[in-house]
Order: sequence, then structure tokens, then C-alpha cells
Amino acid sequence: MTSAAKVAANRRNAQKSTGPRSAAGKARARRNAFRHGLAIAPALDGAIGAQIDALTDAFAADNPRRSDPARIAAEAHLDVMRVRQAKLDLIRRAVWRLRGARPEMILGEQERTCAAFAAVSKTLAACDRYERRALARRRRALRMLQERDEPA
Amino acid sequence: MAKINTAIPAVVCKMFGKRPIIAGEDPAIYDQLLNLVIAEHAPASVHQWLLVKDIADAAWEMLRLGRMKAGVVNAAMPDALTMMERLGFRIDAEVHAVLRLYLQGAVEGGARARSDLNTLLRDQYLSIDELAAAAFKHTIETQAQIDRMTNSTVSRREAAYAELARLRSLTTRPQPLPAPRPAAIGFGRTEAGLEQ
Repeated sequence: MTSAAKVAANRRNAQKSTGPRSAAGKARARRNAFRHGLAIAPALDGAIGAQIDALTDAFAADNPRRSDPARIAAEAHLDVMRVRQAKLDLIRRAVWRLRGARPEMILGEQERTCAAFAAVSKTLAACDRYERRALARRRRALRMLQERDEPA
Repeated sequence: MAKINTAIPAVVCKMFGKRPIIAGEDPAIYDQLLNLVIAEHAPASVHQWLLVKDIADAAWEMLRLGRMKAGVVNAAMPDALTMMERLGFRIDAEVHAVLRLYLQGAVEGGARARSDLNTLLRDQYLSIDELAAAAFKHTIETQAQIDRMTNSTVSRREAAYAELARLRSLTTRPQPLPAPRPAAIGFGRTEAGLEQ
């Protein structure tokens, strides 16, 4: 059984550990769990809403009644593009971080890129999973669209 | 310098996005690869264009992963040198700096640098193979990740090939079977029975 003194000490100590207090600290802590942002659905990403509409039109071609699978395909395709871009950004950022860091441990430019790649390889492998899922979603939606195109 | 095929429809061009290039990669070679895949498969619909791009991107990624697999070992050579020191190999400070220079030359493929590195390492009771083995051990986790990524990329490429083949089979519909002819279908046999 925890003594009353211990409980009181724990409460006192907890008051000292309440996380960041400044606006900058809070803003930084808000991004603690952020890794690559791929878990968010593309439809929720306001920046690409217009692209989804344009792609949906391209997939649905001339029949607006087929817009449901076309929209799913458009979202999935943008997801694919987003994952691919995230993978490239991860590598580029890692290369940039290695510039100037530990210069005695880097042999040349090519090795710097390889070391950067190694540093983010685990996250890159995780991104592959997102890409595979997005590709499967796009394939299913495009097949559905195609089946509707087929004459009965 | 190769350029992306101008025959790519504008709507598809937007879907393709930027080239998947990182430091040390040549965009012209990527364009050549994409043009080759386009020429081989001659995509005829938006869906086929996307699959062709998937195939080219997967091929490009496989080339990158192959380079990285060898490159991460080279990149870990300086770390391996430090690891060997921790294991008890004593390398003089001034020799260490020269070793790094030779290492750089050797990973760039210089035969002379490799030979000099070998001689210098031998003086320190070491060899390039031992250094490479230490570097490999140091990067074994990354090697496994690269293998997983390679498998995943191969699967993506195969899936795109299979989907493309499926689409092609739908567009080239099977011809109706020809009417049966009363020709011999075996040794002295016709469809009606034994030949008289």
C-alpha cells in the first residue's frame, strides 16, 4: 500500500511535469507523434481537394453517374502519389541532416545518400505498406469503374 | 538528354507528378527508363498509363535499392574502422586519417587506393574483408529492411504487369470458335468415327 506521504510527494512532483508551457513548446509537442502524415485520408487534406475533383473527372470521363468509384480511384491515386512523395522527402531530409554532421564519418556524396537511406530505412519500409494499400484501393475502384463501362 | 515522352496526354502528365529522383540520381536516365516502358507497353487508356508509370517507378526503385544495398556497407566503413578499434585493434591517429582517404578512394573504385589500403591495413593486422564484414554486421538491420522493400517493390511491379495483361485481354476479345470441319483429328479417325 502506498503511503500518504508518498502519494502527496507524487502529486507534488506531477505538478512539476505538466509538459510544455510556452506556445512554441506546445506547437513542437503537438508534432511529437507525427511521423509522415500518411494515415490521414487525402479527402481531409484540404490542399488536394481540387486535385481529387480533377482526377475524378478524368477517371469518370463523360459519365457523371460513375463518379463514386472514380472518386475512390482518384483519392487512392493521390494517396499513392503522396506516399511516393513522402518516401522521397524522407530520404532528402535525411541527406540534408547528414550534411555537415560527422564529416569525418562520411566518405563521399554517394555514401552520404546511402547513410541517409539507412537512417530512414525503417520508416521507408513502413511507407511501403501504405503504398501497397493505396494501390490495391485504386485497382479495386478502377475495376469497378470498368465493370460499369462494360456493356451488359 | 532524354526528355519525357511528349506523347503523354496532358491529363496523364498531371497524374504522374514529379520525377522520383533523390541525390545522386540522373533525371535523364529516369526519363529514358520511363520512355522505354511506355514504348514497350503502348498504353491506350488512363488506367494503362498509370500502370505503366507504376512499372517504371518500381523498376527505378529496384535499381535504387540495389545501389543502396551495396552503398550502405561502403558508407559504414568509417564506423567499422571505429568498431574495430573498440574491439581492441589499435590504429594510430595519423594512420586513421590516411586510412579514411584510402577508404574513400577504394569505395570509388580506385585500384591503387584499394591496394594501398590493403597494405596499410595489413600493417595494422587487419584486412579489407574484415573491415567490410564489420561494416556488414553494423548494417545488417538496414540490409534486412532493404530486402523487405525490394520484395515489396517486386510485388508492386508484378501486380501492375498482371493488371496490364488483364486489361489487354479485355480489349482483345477472343475470336468466335471456327465451325468444326470434318477433317481427320487422329490416326485415320474423323469426328464421325473410324475412317473407311
